Amino acid sequence: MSIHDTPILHDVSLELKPGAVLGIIGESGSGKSMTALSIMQLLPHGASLTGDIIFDGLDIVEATEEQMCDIRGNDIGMVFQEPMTALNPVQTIGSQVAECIALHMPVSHRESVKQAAAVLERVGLPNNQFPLSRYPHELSGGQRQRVVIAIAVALQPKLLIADEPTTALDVTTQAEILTLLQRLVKDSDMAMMLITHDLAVVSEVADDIVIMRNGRVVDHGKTSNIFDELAHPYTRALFEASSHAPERLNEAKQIEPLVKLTNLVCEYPLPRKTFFGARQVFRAVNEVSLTIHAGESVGLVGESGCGKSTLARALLGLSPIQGGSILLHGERLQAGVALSRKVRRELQVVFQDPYSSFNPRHRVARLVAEPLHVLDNPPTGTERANLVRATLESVGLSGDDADKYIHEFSGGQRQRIAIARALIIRPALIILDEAVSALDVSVRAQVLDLLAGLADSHQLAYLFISHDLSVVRNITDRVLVMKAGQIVERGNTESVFNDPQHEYTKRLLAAAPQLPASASQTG
Amino acid sequence: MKLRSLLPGVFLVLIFFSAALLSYIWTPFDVTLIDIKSRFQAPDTTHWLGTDHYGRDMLSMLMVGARTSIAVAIVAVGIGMLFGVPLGLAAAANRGRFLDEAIMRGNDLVFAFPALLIAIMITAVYGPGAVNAIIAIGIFNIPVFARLSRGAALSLWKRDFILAARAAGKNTTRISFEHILPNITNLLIVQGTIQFSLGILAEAGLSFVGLGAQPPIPSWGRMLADSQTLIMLEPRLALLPGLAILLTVLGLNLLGDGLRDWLDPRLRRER
Amino acid sequence: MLRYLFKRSLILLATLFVASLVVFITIEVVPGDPASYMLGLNAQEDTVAALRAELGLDKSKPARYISWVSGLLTGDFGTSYTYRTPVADMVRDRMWVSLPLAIFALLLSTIIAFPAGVYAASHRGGITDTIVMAFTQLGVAIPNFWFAMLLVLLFAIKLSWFSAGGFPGWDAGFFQALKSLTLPAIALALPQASILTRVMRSSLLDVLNEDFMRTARAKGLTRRKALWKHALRNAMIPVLTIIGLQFSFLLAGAIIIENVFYLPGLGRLIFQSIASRDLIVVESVVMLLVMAVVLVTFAVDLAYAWVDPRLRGTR
Repeated sequence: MSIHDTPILHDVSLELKPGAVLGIIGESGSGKSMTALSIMQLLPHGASLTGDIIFDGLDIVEATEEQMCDIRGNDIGMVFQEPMTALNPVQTIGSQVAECIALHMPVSHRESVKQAAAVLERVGLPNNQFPLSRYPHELSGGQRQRVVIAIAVALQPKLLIADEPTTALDVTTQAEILTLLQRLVKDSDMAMMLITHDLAVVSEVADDIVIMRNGRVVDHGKTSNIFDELAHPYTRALFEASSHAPERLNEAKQIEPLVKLTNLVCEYPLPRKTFFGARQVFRAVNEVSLTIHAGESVGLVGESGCGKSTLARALLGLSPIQGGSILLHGERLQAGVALSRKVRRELQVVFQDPYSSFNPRHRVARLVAEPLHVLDNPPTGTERANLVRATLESVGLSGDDADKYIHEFSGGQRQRIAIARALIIRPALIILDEAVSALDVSVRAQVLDLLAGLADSHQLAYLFISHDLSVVRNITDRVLVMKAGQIVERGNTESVFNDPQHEYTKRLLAAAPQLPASASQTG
Repeated sequence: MKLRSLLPGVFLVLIFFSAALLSYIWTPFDVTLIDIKSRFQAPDTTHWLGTDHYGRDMLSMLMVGARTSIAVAIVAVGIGMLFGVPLGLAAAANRGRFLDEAIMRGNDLVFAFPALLIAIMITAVYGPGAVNAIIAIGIFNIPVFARLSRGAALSLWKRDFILAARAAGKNTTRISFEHILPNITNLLIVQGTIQFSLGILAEAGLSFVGLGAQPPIPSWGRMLADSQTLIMLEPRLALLPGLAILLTVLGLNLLGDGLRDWLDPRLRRER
Repeated sequence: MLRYLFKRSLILLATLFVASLVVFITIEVVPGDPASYMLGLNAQEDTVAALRAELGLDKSKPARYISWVSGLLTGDFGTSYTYRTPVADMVRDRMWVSLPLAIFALLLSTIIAFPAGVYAASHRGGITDTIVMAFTQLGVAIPNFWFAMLLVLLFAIKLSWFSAGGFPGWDAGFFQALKSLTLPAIALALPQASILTRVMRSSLLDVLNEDFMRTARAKGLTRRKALWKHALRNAMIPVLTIIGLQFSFLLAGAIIIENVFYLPGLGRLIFQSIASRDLIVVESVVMLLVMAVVLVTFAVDLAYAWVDPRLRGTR
């Protein structure tokens, strides 16, 4: 397959059987989504396809648009990655599901609505709680994904294609959606094609696995065989990266408290419900206390909306605090007031999205040098240029990269530049807000190695904020679990992971997909 | 990618700009010279585009008219940008707070007065003139730029690089000028050309009804108004200034479209 | 929903209040003494004094403002100085020309723009799309009053299908009156239709790229059905904004176009009043037009809530 004569997929061959789940794994750009869209014949403009796709005896490549419209939604259903945008915002969920039914079956409007209600029940949206008249914006991400699944399975298709169906969701929601998909496959004996970048997800759900890279299938086979044998070098590499634990030299000595939060409270005003009523507030961070020692790596884990990012922003002086205190080196940070230069020097941050973290109009040198202005005597001229070069080299980039613009770098390289920007003023603590979440596993492993190395060489402390339990486990000394604005559990990383005390922590750990133990040991 | 509109746009705009600039130092004839004997002359080698009902040279009139139109529109767009952009940036930096609300409500208020109504009110009290036209069109441009820069700035404020700059301890004014403004310049340039062309249309309209430039200063709108009664006798007098407006505005719009395609980071983004 | 309505209504009232202050201050306070301004330099002392008394200029400014606004609210717009007739009567007659003209033009422009925009977007890059886009480029650039003159030249003078101007009044028969508004409405509508077509097309193209359009296609909807059932309503949101803005342009444009066609509308009235320095008429007509613009903006806000359930808030 090629788009505008640029080849995208080469010699991709795979087979799906009814009642079985085929997992397709690959990093970004491996062509796994294009394979799915080929089956649906919904490829982007200018795409051309050669070869055969035999579905139920019909060659889809040769099928007319009319035949495809009959097949789509009826025989093949599809679930997409982004539930927030996959539904029409101006139509009710009921009419969006019913539309699919009315389209393929000669039933009355009333009958299609009745069936839609039944389908929504089947995907776990009971009608008394989620009436058909709801609009998408009134549902959460997981609930929306259930609606998308309802549309896909409304007519009991023979094949369900799920393209990263849980990537945008929290771990507990992810576990629920995966269970739902498995149940639907079993109930109606359909085939499912599960596309994902997450090895652990696939290892739990799929019967067969195909591993793709740069538009080619590099490895395939039964799930158990693949994980046991790790025959192909790329499969092995992917595997090792997924469970990668960076080497860390120094055990942190908890001597000197660097940052101490005591009973921190952060609130947001909510929109007024009634016009004259008192303004309600939402307490995003509720009486959180936490200490980070010099050179220590602390993990903060929680699902979206639990308040972990608000906490980070409060610590950086970006959101005002309504109670409690933040002490840095024993000095109190004034709540809601801009931080002093002295404090700014100690704290830096790396954000999640490597694409929006940089001003696209500045060169790397200027981007990396930005925090320098908090120094009392910022270096200028050659001295400054040398410092930028040295910092870039310390994160594994070339000093010559200073003259480039940010769009010339890949996601992993950008995250390195973000780390360089944080590192340049030699802070004592770097806050990593989902800093590796957007990266492919192999790149992620490299960045984690870099972070571990820097911590040792620069005496850095990290506050590692993430929703991804495996990442936190491998790089932190201590971990805190946050839920609904409160810390529900804290302790040494290993003991929390091996012997969780709080109900919520247990649930989180149970929900997180695991790689098979045998393979983890080999890798 | 799609630069086919940029070239004709630049070509048309250059023609009218150079005609306007040239008119400051040289025109084929003096536009204040009234010569009734040679009125309604068809185009020939002396008068390339013929003469009007007072015997004035049409080409010279059009050149000076271009100067009037362009001057009024440029100053009006300048007023709009000078006040509108800082207001929009300030509103975005104080999102949801009193200042933001006040600026946006002020915008709504100005939007309730189309440029023509402002010109009518000013003229009713102070009498007509080119300055009134500038003020009226300029005031109407302020909320256009305020809204545009606020909207664009708001989406930038959500980006992580702004958060990073804040985490580096920069204050909102400094961020607005160092990070926000350079990232909305393209948008402002494109909108600037669009407002420029709208300004030329508005100036022509105001002059047409006598609220803009006053005689003896030639302007395209006035030339059209004068030709209205003569349209049966000599359609040329109505066609030429109209074509001049049409081509200038068309050129500016093509230039704006071309610039947008050329400057659009989405089309130029690599990787 | 109620909250949204309430907030919009408050903004409507506040805008009208401030707008009336602006109009009052510009026209009655800034010139100093409106009476001597209206009468000109050669006026007699006693005539000026008489007019001052008639206008109530001896009262304080706040008192004058209140009596003007309460007059407006009760339909008493004052008495024209030049014509010696109540402004309300003059406005009422003229409104029956200007308002139908603006609505006629808005309808025309919408009727032209919708199919053109939808067709161009769904056949993007095709020959029809290219032709439609080229025409809209011209339409956006053409000054409407010049276009009006060309229409007169062609249809009234050369072909004699329409009269070159004037208005027989609605008493002369509906179609007779409508016919005399046709050329002015076309002149007003075509440039606006070009803008609307472009907005419709680009808004639709944006929506066609959204994720939920892929969902719709994955259900088995054909390209055309997905466009009608899912894209159109979402694409309406920016289109509504432009329709609202256009109404104020049409009103303003109507003022100019009326002069080309010698139509006895608000535009003619306002220019005659400026020429005779009749500030009372100018003040009231300007305020009336501002009110019309603000009310249309309000209507557009309501239409938003109808189109976009997200604005109605969550339950």
